Amino acid sequence: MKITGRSGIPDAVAILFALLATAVGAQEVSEKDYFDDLPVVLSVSRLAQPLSETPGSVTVIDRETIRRSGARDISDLLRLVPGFVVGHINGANPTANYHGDFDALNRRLQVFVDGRSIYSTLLAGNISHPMMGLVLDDIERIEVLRGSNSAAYGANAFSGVVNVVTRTAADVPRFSTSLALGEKGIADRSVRAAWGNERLALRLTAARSGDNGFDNVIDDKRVDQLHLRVDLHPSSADDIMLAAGSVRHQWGATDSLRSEIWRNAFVQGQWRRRIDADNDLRINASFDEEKAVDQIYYFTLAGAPRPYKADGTGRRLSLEAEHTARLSPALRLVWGGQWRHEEVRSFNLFAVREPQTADLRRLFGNLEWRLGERWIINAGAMWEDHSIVGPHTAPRISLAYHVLPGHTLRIGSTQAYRMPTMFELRGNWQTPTLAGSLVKASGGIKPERMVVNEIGYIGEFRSLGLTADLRGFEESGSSVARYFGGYPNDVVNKDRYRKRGWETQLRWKPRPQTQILLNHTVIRVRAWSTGDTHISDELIAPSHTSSLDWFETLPTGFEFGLSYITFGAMTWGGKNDVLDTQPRVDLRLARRFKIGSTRAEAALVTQSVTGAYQDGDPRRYFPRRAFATLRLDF
Amino acid sequence: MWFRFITFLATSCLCHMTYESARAAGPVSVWVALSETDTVYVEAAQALRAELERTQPGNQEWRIAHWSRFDKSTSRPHWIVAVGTAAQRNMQELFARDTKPPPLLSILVPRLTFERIADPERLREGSLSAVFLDQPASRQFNLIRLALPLVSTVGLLVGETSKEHLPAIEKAAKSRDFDVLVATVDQGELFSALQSVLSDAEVLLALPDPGVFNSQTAANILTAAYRRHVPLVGFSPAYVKAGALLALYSTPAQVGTRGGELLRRALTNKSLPPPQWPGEFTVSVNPDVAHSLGLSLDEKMLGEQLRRRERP
Repeated sequence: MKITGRSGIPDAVAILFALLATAVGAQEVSEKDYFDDLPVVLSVSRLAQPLSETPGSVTVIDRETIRRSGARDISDLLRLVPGFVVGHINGANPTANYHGDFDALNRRLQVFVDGRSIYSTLLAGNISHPMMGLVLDDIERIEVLRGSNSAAYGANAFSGVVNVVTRTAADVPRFSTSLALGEKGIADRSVRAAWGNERLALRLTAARSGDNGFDNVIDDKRVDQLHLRVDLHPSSADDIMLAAGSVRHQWGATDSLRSEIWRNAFVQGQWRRRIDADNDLRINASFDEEKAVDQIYYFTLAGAPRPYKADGTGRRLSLEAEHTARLSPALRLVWGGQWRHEEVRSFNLFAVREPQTADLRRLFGNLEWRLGERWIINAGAMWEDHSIVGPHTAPRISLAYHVLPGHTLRIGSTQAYRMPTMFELRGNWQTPTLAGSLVKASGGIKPERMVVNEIGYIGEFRSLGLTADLRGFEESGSSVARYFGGYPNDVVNKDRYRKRGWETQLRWKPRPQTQILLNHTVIRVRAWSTGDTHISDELIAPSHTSSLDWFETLPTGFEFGLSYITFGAMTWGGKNDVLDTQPRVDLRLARRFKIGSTRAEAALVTQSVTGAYQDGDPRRYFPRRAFATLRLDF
Repeated sequence: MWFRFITFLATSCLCHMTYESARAAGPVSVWVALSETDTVYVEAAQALRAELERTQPGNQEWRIAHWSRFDKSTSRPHWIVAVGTAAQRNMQELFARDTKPPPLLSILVPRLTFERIADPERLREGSLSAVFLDQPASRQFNLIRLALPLVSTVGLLVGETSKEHLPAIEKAAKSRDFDVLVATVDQGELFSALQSVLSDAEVLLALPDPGVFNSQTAANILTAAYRRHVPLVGFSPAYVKAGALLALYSTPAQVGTRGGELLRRALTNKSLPPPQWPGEFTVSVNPDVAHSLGLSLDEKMLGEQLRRRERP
C-alpha cells in the first residue's frame, strides 16, 4: 500500500516510518521473533465485560447489522432492540424511547456518542434532535443498555442508555461516498475521507440527508452535518481522541406555517492511559453549544398571518475522570467523578434575558466481584449534587449466576432518578396567541424517581448458533413531572405508574450466510393519575411488540433483508389518540461488487411495503417509500 | 545480573554434561552449538540431550557451548546440533570447505530462515536437517476451527518476509474450507493493511515477520483487532500475554525433545531424516480476552483435541 498522505509533516513522518520498517523488513525471521517479550496491550482494565456479566440487559447492534438494516437514522436501528418504542412526532422528527414515554419530549433516555452525552440543554433534555446528528456509516456499534442505569451513568439514564461507538480512521476506508435517492423526496449523500498512520489518524465526514416526510403534512426535513475525529496514539500506553462536529436539523418548508432549525456544535477530547496491567484511566472533556429557532405564522382575527419567532441557545461543559482498577482477580472497580455546567438562554422559554445556569457534580463507583467460577456481584452507586435540586444517590445491585457454561441467570434491583431540566425548573413559556405564559414553573419540582426490579437470562447455544436474552421487569415510578394547573401550567411531580412485563431477543445464525433476529416484548402499564386524567398513560407502550429481522447473504454477492414489526394499540407523545395496531414490513436487496480496487454496494430498500400506517398521530401516516443507495469505498 | 546468572547456569550445566559423557565407552561425539547462551537455547539443548540420554544413556559425548567456542582444528565431532539461526549459519560456515562435513541438525530455526540459509547441496545429500520452530499451517487452521467453529474468514497481515508462507497457508486453508484474506504491509504501511484486513476477517492469524509484527506494532494491531472484535491468534506466549486470544507455539524444550528423537534415529540409521515441524506444541489462551469476547476456551482441552486430530 502506497503512502498517500498529502501534507508536509505527516508525510515526512510516514516516510521515516516506512524507511525504518523497510530496514526492519530486510531482516529475516529469527527465533527472537518468537521469544521476545511484548508489552501488555489489552489489560484487564481495558477489556469490556462480556454480555453475560453486565449488570443489566444489553443489546449490541454491530456494524454489519447497521449496514444491512437499510436504516437511514438511528431510530430505525433502535427498532432492533427489544422494549424500544419507535415512531415519529412527525415525518421530520423520528424518536425512540424505552418502554414508552409520558410526553413528546424524549428525555428519559441517555445517549452517548464516544462517551459524550448528547441531549439538548435548551430543549428540555430532548435527545431526538441530537440523535439526528449521527452518520450511520460512521458508527462501529451501538450498545443499548436496557433498563435504568442511573447508578453508572447518572440521572439521564433513567429508562436506558444508548452507547454509540464511532469508527476511528483506522477502521474506515480511505475515501467513501454514498448516495440515496428515492420516493418522497429522499435524498441522502455523504462523503468521508480518512487518513493516518499508526500514531495519528483522522476522519472527516460530511453528510446531508433529507426527505419530504409524511403525506399531507408539512414536515420536510434536512439534516446537514460535519464530523471530525482524530485519534492519537503517542505511546503504547496512551490513546487520545479528539472530536468536533456540527449538526443542523431543519424541518418545515418555506411556505409552511412553521419552520424550525436546531443547530449544534461540539468539541470533545478524551485521553485514556494504561497505568499498568491492572489500572486504566480515562479523562473526558466536552463542550456543546446549540441554537434553536422556531418560526411560526399565526392567524389573528384581523386576517393576514403574522410571524412569531422563538429562539434560544444552550451551552454545556462537561469534565469527567474515570479509573478502572483490578484490585484482585476477583474484584474490579470502576469509579470516578464528573462536573457539568449548563447554561440556557431563551426569552421565549424563560421570560428573562439572563442565562439560566446549573452545575452538576457526580461521584460514582461500581464494584464487580466474582465469587468463584459461578457468581458475580455488581454493586454500584452514583451520588449527584445538582446546584438547584440538591443531592441524590442512585444505588444498584445485581447478582449473576452461571448455571452452566454459556447460561447465565441474573437478578437485579436499582433506584433511578431523573433530574429536572432547566425548563422544568425555571421555565416561563411565552406564546404569541395567549396573553401570558403557557407554562410557568414555580421551581418546586423534585427529580422523578423509579425503582426497577429485574430478572434476566442469557443463553448461548453455540452448536445451534443461537443466543437468547430474556428480561423480566417491574418498573415502579412515582413523581412523574407534569404540566399541571391550567394556564399557566406549573411543572409538578404527580402520578405514579408501574410497568410490568418481559422482553426477549433471539439472535440466530444457523449458518454464516443467515442471521435472524427475533424480538418480542410484552408490557402492561398501570398508571394512577390524580386530578387531570391521563387516559393515554396506560397506552404509552404497546401491550405487545414483535419483530423479525432476517438477513441473508445470497450467492454472487447479493444480499437480502426482511424486517417485520407489529405492535399493539398505543398513544404517542402524551396525547390521548389511540393508534391502530399495524404491521410494517421493510425489504432490502443489495449487491456488493468491485470496480477495480473500489468496493461498491448498491441497494434497493422499500420501507413499509404493505402501505402507509399510522405513526405518531391518527391523522399521520408513514408512507410506503422506496429508495436506492449506492456506496463506494475507495 | 540475570544474564550472568543464566550464563553461569549454562556453563555449569555444560561442564557437568561433558564430564559425565566422557566416562562412557566408545561414545559418539556430539557438538551442540548455541546461537546465544540465553535460557531458550540452553533449554532446547538440555531437552535434546535429555531425550537421547533417556534412551541411550552414556552413548554420547556432549559438548554444549556458544557456537564461537568450537574449533575444528582441535577435534572433530560425529554429529553437530545447531540451536538457533546464528549457530546454524556459523556451523555450516565452519565446515564449508570440508568434502565430508559432519551431519548437521539445526533446531529452533524458523522454516523460512532455515530454507534461506541451508546449503542446498548438503540438504540434498542428507547431511543437513532441521526441527523448525514455527508451526505447520494445517495445525494453525485446525486450531482456529476448534477454538472458533463459526469462523470462516481468516485474515493475514503479510510483509516481505512472511509472504513466502502464503502458498502453504492458502493450500491448508482451502482444504479446510477457510477463506483467507491477505493484506500486504508494503513499506511499513501497516495502517491501511489493517484497515483492509479487519473489514472482513473474523480472526487474525499472526505470522512472524519483523516488518509486520514487532514490539512497536503489536499494540496497534491488538487494539485495532479488539476494537473490531476480531480475535488474534499469535505465535508466541508473549502475544497471549499482550492480548491475543490464543497462541500456538512449541516451547524450546518441545523443539529440543523432537531434535533428540531425530538425532536418535539418525544415530541408528546413520543418516538424518528430512526437516520437520515440531511434533509437540502448546496452546495458550488469554482467559481475560476470551472472557471479554464472550468465549469460554480451555487451553488444555484445545491442545488435547488438536493433538488427537493429528494423531488419532
